[in-house]
Amino acid sequence: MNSTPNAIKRDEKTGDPLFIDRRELRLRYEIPVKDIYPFFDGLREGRVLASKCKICLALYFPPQGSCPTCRKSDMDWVELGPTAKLLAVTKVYIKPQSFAEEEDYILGVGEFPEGVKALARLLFEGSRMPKIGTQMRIAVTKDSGENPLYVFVPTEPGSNEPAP
Amino acid sequence: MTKVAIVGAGISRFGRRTDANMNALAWESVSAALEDAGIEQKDIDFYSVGNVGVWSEENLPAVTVGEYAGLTPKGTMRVEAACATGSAAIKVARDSIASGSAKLAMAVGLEKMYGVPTPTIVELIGRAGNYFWEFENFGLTFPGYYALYASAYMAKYEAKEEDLALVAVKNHYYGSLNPFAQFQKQVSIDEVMTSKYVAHPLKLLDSSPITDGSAAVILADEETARRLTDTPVWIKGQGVASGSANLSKRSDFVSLDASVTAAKAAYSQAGIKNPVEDIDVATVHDCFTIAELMAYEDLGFVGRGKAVQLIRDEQTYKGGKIPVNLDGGLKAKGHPIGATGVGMAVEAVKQLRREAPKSRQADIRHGVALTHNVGGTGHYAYVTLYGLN
Repeated sequence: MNSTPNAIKRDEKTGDPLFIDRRELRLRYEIPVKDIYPFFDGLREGRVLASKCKICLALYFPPQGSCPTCRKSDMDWVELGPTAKLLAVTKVYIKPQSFAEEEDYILGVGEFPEGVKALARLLFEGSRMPKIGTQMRIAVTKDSGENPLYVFVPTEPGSNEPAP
Repeated sequence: MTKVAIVGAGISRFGRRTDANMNALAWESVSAALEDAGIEQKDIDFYSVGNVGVWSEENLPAVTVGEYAGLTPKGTMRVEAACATGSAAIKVARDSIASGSAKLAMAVGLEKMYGVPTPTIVELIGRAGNYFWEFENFGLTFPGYYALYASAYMAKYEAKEEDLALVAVKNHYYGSLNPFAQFQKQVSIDEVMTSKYVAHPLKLLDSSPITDGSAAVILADEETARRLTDTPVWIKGQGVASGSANLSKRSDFVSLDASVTAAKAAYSQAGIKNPVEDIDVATVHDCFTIAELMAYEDLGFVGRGKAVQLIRDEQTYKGGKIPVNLDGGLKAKGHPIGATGVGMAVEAVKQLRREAPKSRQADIRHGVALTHNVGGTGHYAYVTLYGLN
């Protein structure tokens, strides 16, 4: 007669006794976005917006609501792109738990003519890695949860350069 | 600044430690450090505990370790600087002595990463940058951060994946000579090249492992240090710097600016003019093979784009121009992220005291060792110079 769950298991590799915690912690954060809300308005309209300080004209991407140089919160919102140059790229094979259901994906950093950069998925066809220096276009698509998301795509359909 | 020396050092065996919980794991190195220094817990004025956590059971490790190790009621705090946490814990302990508030202080580094399944660890480390803009939306992983750098470095300097593999081969060779290392076996270039991609172009054997481990050092002011030991290891300089959280705000992807800034500050404090000439042995932050190559350049061991030639010529082996990671590095010794920086300090102490096994003992001519500990992908950088004089 043993009505208490036995929390102790043996490790499969070492055989050491392990107490399996019975208190599971699940976290989902609530992140305020009030100061960058125009960014999300832009995304819904298919545009990627950076914030720009009205005083010193500094451009911020990812956008932020305050300029640390001027110490003011007076921003314009300007559209980025459409073209960007690929500076760094990777393909992620070993994925985080919360991305485990997705196919292996390519991520890259693109630099816009305005000088700011963005990290985003690259939606390029084929299995070859895009070359550093490739010209890309930023576009807005939808993620698996139907939320608008910015991505990099070839400048013209089918025009991505083959990598070695 | 007041002179501060390490007077005791201890380290646990690194690896998948299913035989020890967090507190017991910390005790392994704390007890060894106390023994090495020849002091008792009551002699310690303050201790810091470097631990990143979340994947392990205790949320307040500074107090749970203190209770287990008999350090209560000494003052303490937990310190976090991602993978540079250990060096940050040393900074806090050193500063407490330099300020005059302590004569003897301990820095403990501790990480117990195998407390949760691997996909959860990948998830948590992936958040070690800017969570919202680079993880939430896109799923960037930690190997992915360094893979971005590798892609740009390889394109700019025509480095090959085989060149990265040379770093793994060297560090596994030294890991095979270190009984505290997680991987005590050599690997061949072929084994590295045929291991699976984690984040292109980085493969499994380009990557440091998930590790449980702890390390501890005891620091003292000059008077106390000279009373306790004939071979104090002085902290000659420590440069610290940070980088942007978003990788998209980095200037380029071939160098970690934070490492460059931290190294300049540390060299200036320690009077290092020519690092390759003046430093006997270095441990650098090789969480991925590309990171060791960038470190050679960021620390001024070679000029830009020349790191590949340095490893091809085997000049970072024992007996080379500047021996690097003779303990196996993060790559083979293991990378318990809160403990790594303290583990580097322990290695510097052993090397300078000429207490490393002969097969991996550097030739100590100037009595100067360097540790380079990076948090995140150059989100934090700590460069510390240790010396016998």
